[in-house]
Amino acid sequence: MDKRLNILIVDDSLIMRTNLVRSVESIGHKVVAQAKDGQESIKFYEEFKPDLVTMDITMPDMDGITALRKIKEIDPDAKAIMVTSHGQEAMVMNALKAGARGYVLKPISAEKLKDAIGKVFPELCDEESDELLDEEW
Amino acid sequence: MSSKEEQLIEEFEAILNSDEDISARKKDFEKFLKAYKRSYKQLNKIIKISDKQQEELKELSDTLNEKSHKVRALLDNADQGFLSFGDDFIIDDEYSKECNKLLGDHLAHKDISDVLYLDDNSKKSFFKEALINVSNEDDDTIKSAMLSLLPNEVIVNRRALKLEYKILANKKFMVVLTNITKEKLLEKKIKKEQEILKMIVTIVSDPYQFYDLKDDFLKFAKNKKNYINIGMNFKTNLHTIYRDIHTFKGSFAQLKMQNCVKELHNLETKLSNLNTISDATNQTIYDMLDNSDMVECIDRDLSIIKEILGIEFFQKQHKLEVDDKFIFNIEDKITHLLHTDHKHINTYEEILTEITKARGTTINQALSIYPKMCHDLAISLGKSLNDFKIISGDDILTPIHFKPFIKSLIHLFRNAIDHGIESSEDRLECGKNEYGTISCYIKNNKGSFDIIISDDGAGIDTQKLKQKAISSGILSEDELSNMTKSEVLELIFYDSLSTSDDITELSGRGIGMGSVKSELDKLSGEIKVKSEIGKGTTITLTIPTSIYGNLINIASNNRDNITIEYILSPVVNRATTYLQSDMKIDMKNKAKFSYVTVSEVVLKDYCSYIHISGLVDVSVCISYDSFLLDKLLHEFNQGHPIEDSMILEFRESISKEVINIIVGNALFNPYDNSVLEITTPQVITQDELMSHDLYEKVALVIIDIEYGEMQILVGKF
Repeated sequence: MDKRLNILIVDDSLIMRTNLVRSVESIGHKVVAQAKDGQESIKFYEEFKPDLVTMDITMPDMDGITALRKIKEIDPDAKAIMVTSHGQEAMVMNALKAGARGYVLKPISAEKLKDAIGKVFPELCDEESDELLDEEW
Repeated sequence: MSSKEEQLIEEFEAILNSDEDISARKKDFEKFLKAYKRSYKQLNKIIKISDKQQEELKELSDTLNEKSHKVRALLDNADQGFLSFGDDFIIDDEYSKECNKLLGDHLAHKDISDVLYLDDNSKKSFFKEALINVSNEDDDTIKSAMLSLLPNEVIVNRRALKLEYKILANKKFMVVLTNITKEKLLEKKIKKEQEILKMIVTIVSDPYQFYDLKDDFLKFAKNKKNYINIGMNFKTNLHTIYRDIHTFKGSFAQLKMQNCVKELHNLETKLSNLNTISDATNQTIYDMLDNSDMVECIDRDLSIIKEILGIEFFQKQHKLEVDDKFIFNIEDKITHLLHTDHKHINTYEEILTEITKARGTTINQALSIYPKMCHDLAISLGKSLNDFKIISGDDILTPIHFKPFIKSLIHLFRNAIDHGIESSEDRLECGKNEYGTISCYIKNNKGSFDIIISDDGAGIDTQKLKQKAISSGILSEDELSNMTKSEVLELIFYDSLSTSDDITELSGRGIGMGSVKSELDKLSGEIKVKSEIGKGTTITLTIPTSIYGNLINIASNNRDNITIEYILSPVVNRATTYLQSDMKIDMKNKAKFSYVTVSEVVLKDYCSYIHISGLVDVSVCISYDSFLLDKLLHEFNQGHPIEDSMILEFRESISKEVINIIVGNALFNPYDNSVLEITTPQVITQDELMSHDLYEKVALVIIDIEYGEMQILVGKF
């Protein structure tokens, strides 16, 4: 990837934040801030205007999906990747409805993170696929 | 130079050429010099202006180039093709790159109608005519009305393209091409699916119309004598059979069975073509029909219906819908006779048995969810499994109190797939078929029935079973040496036996078997296990039946145990894989499993819990020895050191994160759509735990590793 993204990390777990910072930096992006709950994430988003947010879903007080909705009110173009330990359908649906662009299941590796980011920022990696009609057309 | 100056030059040239005295003309000469200097200055000015203009021209030219590049960049990066042409229909030089992809190379100077329509002359001329008309029209409204008549879709190089037309100045046109192939394919797919849906809805609304038509057609198709009537001539026979098929086609069309309609239509065409053969006879008709398998005509639609509605839909054909009021009435009347007419009491009992069977659900039906569930489970566990059906001779009635037992059988199937059936690679290595087989038979005996579940997987290792029985103190070596192999195998159902989800050591069953045994005990049933290492395992469950007389007593409704085990099994599985695969910690021993009360629980140094709600209501608690926790922390942090001041915070954090990952991952169960919600992990202390109901039963699992123990609790607290 050529471009360096500014990323805001949101997770209530200290060890997860530490880990994520390391993973993000290892794939060449920059962590502009770490938020430990929904409230902080909104505050930091306004302050740092990151290119991307990684948002833990299960957090006390304000969960990740609610926080994402509030961030989207500030910036409708905000891009977020949801992070969680389980992928139940109803929750995925809620996250997508709230405007999440992607989804990563814990435990997170740098590889998984890179793929997820690549889907949100496809210009950072090249891909093209062309569909053709079958003969009867 | 002015004419005056020209004149002066001429005069001076003349003087120079003669002998005249020049001094007299000094004044004139000075005038001339002045004039010349003036001209010279002007010339210089002009040259300067010219230079400046040249520079400006270059600047403009550069700016133009730059702009041109920018516009080109815009056009080339748009996913649409832009091109223009004049009233000669020749494509201009400047067009966007996408045009090359959609229409081909070297488009400049080609005729646009050739490119779009290749050899279709009528389309080409319509295209050109329409555009000429637009050109000649002055009124804008009419112009755009005409443009709307132009084709807005075309197929070139097997791509569907959308065409939009714009009018440019100077009688030029621009066409914008967009590749809509994806959308078209999707449209087609949706349309197909809608048609299938219409068919299904029509059929389900009146199934008997479908059943009757299907049977009639199959009867017609299979009976070749139907094809021709020997007594009639060729023309009459052809007409008759054509009419019959045409009628069937109409009936299938009513049920929206499109594929049938298509196939029968082809058949009609073939038949009518026979008319053109001069020496066709009855035999010709017969041969043609004999060669085209009519039964195949309806195959495709029947298989779609089977796939969506299941084979049960076809079986329902032979079922009646009856108000159960009527059945109860008959039962009552017969029961009355049973008590009054003692002479025929046996007959009445028999009749009642038949009626009750008709009324209730059968074992077969109750187990019918398992084949699909096993299929999905196998996929999620990465195993290859042959499809299987529940096989039974008679229909055996399932009394309502059998339900918990039937539900507990989930563990048998789960274990068969998880631990019994090996991965495809392992199976191939052992010389087995890549696809594992699970089978389920129901056998009716007099007064009882058997459910026989078997797999051709890895089998159970009795040696390891014996070792575990000894080490957990259930049986002594002497007692074990006197047991038969089948008795040893039954040990897998003991609650307090250390069973494990470790497939490398005890290549056999895991947790959950205890609940099967307990449910079976409540029904006074028996269980027999047969197993051979490398060959497979067969479990036979025998349950006595009775309709009258002894009511089988269910002591307590032990649903709680099933709930706990339902959660415990995947959680312990995930904990084990997390430790081994994610954290690369070797597990020397198997997990120890037992049921205790809350009062007996001693939490370890660090402990967190998660509450699960929704269809179940349990809590999971994981506690760790501090040495183990530090090792987990070290691995999670990829070896990076942690400041001493932060150690406690990090330990708490990892204790919560690990349970979050394990429980979260474990609950992500693709074959189970139940909605379960989990809370964020919280730290819990021994005191807080003790504040709950001390007699509440919890499942306790201890995973013992070289760094210490991980203790998992599952229960209602």
